[in-house]
Amino acid sequence: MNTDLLVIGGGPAGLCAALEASSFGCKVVIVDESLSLGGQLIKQTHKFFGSSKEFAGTRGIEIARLLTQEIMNKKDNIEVFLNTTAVGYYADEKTVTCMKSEQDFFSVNPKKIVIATGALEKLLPFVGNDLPGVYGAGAVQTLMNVYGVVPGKRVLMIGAGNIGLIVTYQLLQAGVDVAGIVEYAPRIGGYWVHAAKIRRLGVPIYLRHTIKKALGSSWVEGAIIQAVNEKGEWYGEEKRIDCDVICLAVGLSPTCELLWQAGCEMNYVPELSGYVPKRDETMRTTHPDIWVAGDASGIEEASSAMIEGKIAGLSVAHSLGRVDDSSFKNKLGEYWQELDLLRGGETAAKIRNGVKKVLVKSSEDSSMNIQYCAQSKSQVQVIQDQDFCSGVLPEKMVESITPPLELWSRKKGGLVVIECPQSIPCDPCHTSCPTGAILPFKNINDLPKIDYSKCSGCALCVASCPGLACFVIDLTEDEKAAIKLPYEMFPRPNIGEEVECLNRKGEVVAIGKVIRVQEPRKDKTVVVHVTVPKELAMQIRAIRVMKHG
Amino acid sequence: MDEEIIVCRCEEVTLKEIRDAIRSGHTTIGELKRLLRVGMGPCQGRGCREIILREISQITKTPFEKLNPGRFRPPVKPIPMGLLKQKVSQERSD
Repeated sequence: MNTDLLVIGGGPAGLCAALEASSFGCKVVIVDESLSLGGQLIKQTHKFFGSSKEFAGTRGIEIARLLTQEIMNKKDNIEVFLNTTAVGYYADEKTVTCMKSEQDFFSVNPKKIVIATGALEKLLPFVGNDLPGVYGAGAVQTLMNVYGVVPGKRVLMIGAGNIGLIVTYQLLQAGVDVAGIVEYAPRIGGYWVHAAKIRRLGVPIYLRHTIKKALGSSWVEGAIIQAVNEKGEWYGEEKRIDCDVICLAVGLSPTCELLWQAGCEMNYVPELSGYVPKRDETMRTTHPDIWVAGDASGIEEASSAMIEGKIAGLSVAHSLGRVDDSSFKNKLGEYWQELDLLRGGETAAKIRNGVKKVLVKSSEDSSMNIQYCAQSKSQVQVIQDQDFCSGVLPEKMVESITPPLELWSRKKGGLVVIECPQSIPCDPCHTSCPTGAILPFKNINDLPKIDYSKCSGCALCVASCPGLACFVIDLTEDEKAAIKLPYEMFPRPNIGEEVECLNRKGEVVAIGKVIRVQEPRKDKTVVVHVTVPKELAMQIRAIRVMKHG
Repeated sequence: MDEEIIVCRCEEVTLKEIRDAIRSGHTTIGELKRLLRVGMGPCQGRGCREIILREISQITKTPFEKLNPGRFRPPVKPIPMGLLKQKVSQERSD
């Protein structure tokens, strides 16, 4: 089989590469080992961060659907092989061998290749890690979100990176109990707002702890965890956690076998989580016919993977003479600006450092004005507070997010409170605000700024914030405050129902009464209005429906 | 405890076996594969390679990024022999 471009991997990076290249008339073949396109997006039921110009505020599953639809609309130029693995690259023949299911074996001779093979999960050595009930987080997500099967009754999560935090939240949504999250580092690795979401639902995060042992003889019946010191040595008492699932979310490694086989120059870059190829600013590796994009080029977010895919697709089209030099340069410059924005925040510092180690500029063309991983913000202050490091806003920081009392106490409908203290690339609170109260972002990594005089308390931001970090609080009633908060659980509370009110650590501090349930505006997040004792208005951040009967 | 920890799940090789082999001088992935069959099962080392490299790095006091992760040969995933045979006879008849 011959083609202009072979894209290996039909996830966010691969699909964007295919779409970009085909938009310039390239014939594209996509191979993917799964049964549907979209890669990991098909299990991402949470809303994405990033820029509203792209997909911020949209759930991953929805992005997968949109991209797949676009591919299907280009049937004339893009051919898709699902359930198909690219199993080998043969440099002499420039051939990629593929196996479809275990039934068919064929070779592809493409002019150019984009390797967008994504990542694989890291494992952790501990006693009993081969017991049934020890899962990778990807498997748990596949079971729950693709097949609708819960993995067990009570889960211990290992790792507080974004995957561990997100999967914990999804487990809670599926009605599974999460005993806690164990994290080796002294602070959570994922986005702070993801941690806040699960802390306020009562899931503890054990920082500076590791799992020592899975208990049970035929399947997981519990786990032993213990604290570690700075040197990584165990100390203190062992803790026994009862659980029937241990879920490993201890990081991903780029899937790099084909890159090695093709002889691309590879480097081990800890910031990018494994062996990654050297590449130029167009994502071309040291092999002239091979490009890389997405997690295979370093573990990052789906939002940046999509832009890398576009860059690779554009560059392939350019190398095949389908794009003229000046449009190529313009588009490349635009894509890099987007990429730099996404990588401009506090959490992406690691990525910036990692990419710098493997990025080899192919030209020193100053007309292109690309910043290449420049940090777009001044140095951010790192907060060391214990609570803060595990996703709980400390008392001393509450004042800084409290609206001015004079206006607040008489504002019918209430004012917005945003608990978003970490610089991440995200802007739906602003773009969803109809009154201009949440000010425009100069840079999408800025923290939200509010003009309280314009806030109408409409709670559209509450429904659209991907981090569930926006709340509206109305203080105009005499004794009770009304809080409008985001809610994504089952069952939905009814109007008039009494619900448990939880503080930022998930402790029940009051019983509140539901006065309104606002239907989802665009997505599936409902906004629940609940009355609570006034003095607890700045403490209560979640509700739980009490067991009926 | 090391004898209870399985590192290569495909071939059921324990952390103790791996550490003993490294300490007795088998300090490359290539040697350990031949000696213990680590990374030679269905997953082709996708799960254990990094854990083993970390052990080599610690025991031999070599920075991780200086280590050789071994050769990556096709196929990346097991292929039924019958399928290859089919392919070859097809090509001959062409």
